[in-house]
Order: sequence, then structure tokens, then C-alpha cells
Amino acid sequence: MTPCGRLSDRMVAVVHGGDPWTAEEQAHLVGCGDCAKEWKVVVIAAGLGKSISLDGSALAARVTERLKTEPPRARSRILRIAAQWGVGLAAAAALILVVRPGPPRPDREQPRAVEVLHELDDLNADELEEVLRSVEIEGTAGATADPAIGDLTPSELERLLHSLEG
Amino acid sequence: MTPRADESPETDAALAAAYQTGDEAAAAELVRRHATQLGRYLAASGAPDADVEDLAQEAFIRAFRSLGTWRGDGTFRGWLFRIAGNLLKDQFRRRRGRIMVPIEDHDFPDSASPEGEAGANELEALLIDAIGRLPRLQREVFLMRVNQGMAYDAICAALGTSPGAARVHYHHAVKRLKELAR
Repeated sequence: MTPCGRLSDRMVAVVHGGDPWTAEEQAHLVGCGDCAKEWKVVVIAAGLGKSISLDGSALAARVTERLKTEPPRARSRILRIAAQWGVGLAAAAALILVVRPGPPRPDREQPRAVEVLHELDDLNADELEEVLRSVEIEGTAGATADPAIGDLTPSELERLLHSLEG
Repeated sequence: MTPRADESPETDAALAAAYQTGDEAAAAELVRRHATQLGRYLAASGAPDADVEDLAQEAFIRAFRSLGTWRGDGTFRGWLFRIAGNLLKDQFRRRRGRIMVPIEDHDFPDSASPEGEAGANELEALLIDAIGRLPRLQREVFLMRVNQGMAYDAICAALGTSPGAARVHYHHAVKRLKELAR
């Protein structure tokens, strides 16, 4: 490791008062502009927010009071998000049934299939699983099975033939 | 509710477990234990001073309501900071982001200049602004390490990243912020 790398690794310990600079390190700091800049950033960043003083006891009282009196919002939020997904999935399913598009045309830009739901960003794994479980559509297991050729109408057979021929 | 001494020897994990069995005083102790550092972390992350207390309160509420998801392999404080980071992100999004000023438009003033106090305050403001515009992981690793003095293993556990990745995030953040110093 370079002297600059060693000094960089030591800065946090020094700035939090655990371990002062050695004479050798101090000499390097004086002579190395890059390390001096980094040290300046570290010193200022270490002190950020020091002017903030929260009354821990008062905050604790408010937090425990809210925990006792306010119903958890997480479940209603999950249900709201699940409802959004459910409506979206239902709309998408209805659209597929109505439009029944043929094979995609390579010269046409495909629409985005997925819209990012930022509301999901903050959910943890358990909450996400709960959302997924809540939007599962019953009976979908059979829906993905390939239909038998004999079940297709003449026009569907013709469309299938065209798609195979390219 | 039975008050606990500030010097309570109980670990955060023990207090969290106690709260889950209905001990409200354990929750209060966790709040008292971490409130100050959480406030500092939020302020350093760019939360307006006026919002710090509300954000801290909300972070604790969310933490206690999802204690079951805390795996306990990282520190409670690191996990709390992660929740606070999510809250801040939500707040910035609701306010449609912060006022963006190109980082190149500013240089850190020389802290040894005669401008003195004003220069130092400006320096802090510029740094907070620059930290706020770092990519999220860079910002969180940098602040947990420099502002909070957390060790890399605690940071990794809190952020779900590897020590190597955390070091890379840290050095990218420092490199970016150093560009402002002169």
C-alpha cells in the first residue's frame, strides 16, 4: 500500500480521536497536497451535524406513545400497493385478451413492459413477498400451458402457420 | 414504563428482543441510545435542520415496526441509518429532488482565510450539498465511516454490501469530494 493509501485508511481513526498522527504521518500530510485535501474533507465531514441536538428522552416518549396509539401503516400501504398491482395486472390481462397481437414486428419499437413502482423501494423482503402473494391470480398455473393444436380454430391455425414461416 | 439507566449494559439486540416481547422501556432505551447519532447522520445526509427530529422519529417508528426483519448480523444503528436513508430518499422524491447546483461551480474556501467563521460555514454547506449529490451507496458508506466512525464490517452489514465494494464506494466518494477542496 502506498503512503497515501495508508494515511487515507488512518484518517477516520485519527479524526474520531482514537489514534493521533505519528510524526512521520504528519510530515507526509504537510508535504502531500492530495492527502491534505482528503484530510480537510474528512475533518469537516466528521463534524457535520454536530449542531443538531435531539432530546433523546423526549423523542423516546413520543416514539413509544406513537407505537402504542398509532396503528401500523405498513399493512395498509402494502394493500394499497397490492391493489395498484392488481388493477394493473387485470388491465394488462384484459388488453391481451382483446388485442391478441400477432408475432412482434422487428421494425417496431416494443413498449416497456414494466413500469417501475418506486413505492416498492422501501419494502423489505418480507413485505415484498406479501405484495407478490397478494397479487397472485388464482388458477394461473393452467393458463400458461400450451393449448393443443386440435383446440385451435382454423384462423388461429393459419396465424400459427404464418408465424412459423416467419 | 420503567426508566433505564443511560449506562445500561444491555446490547441493542437484547433491547430489541425485549421490545418484541412487550417491554416498552427497551424501545425507549434504544431511542435514547441512538437519537443523537441518528440526528447527526440525517443532518450530514442533507436533511434540513427543521426536519431532522421528525425524520428521526419516523425512522425509529419504522424500525420498531419492522424489528422482525432486522437480521441482527449488523448493528442496530447501521440498520436504523439505512431506514433513515430510505426516509430521506422519499422526502427528496416528494419534493422533486433538491436544487441542483453544478458541483464545478464551487470550490471550498480556504479555512485558514480571514473570512473565518463564514468561510467554515460555507465550507460545511458546500460539503453537505456535494455529499447529497453522491450516489446513494457512496454517500452512505462515506457518512457511516467518516461522520459516524463505523468500521467497514458494520457498514457492510448495514448496507448489505461486501467489504471490497464498501471500500470502493468510500474511495469514489472521497475522490469526488476532494475535487472541491483546495
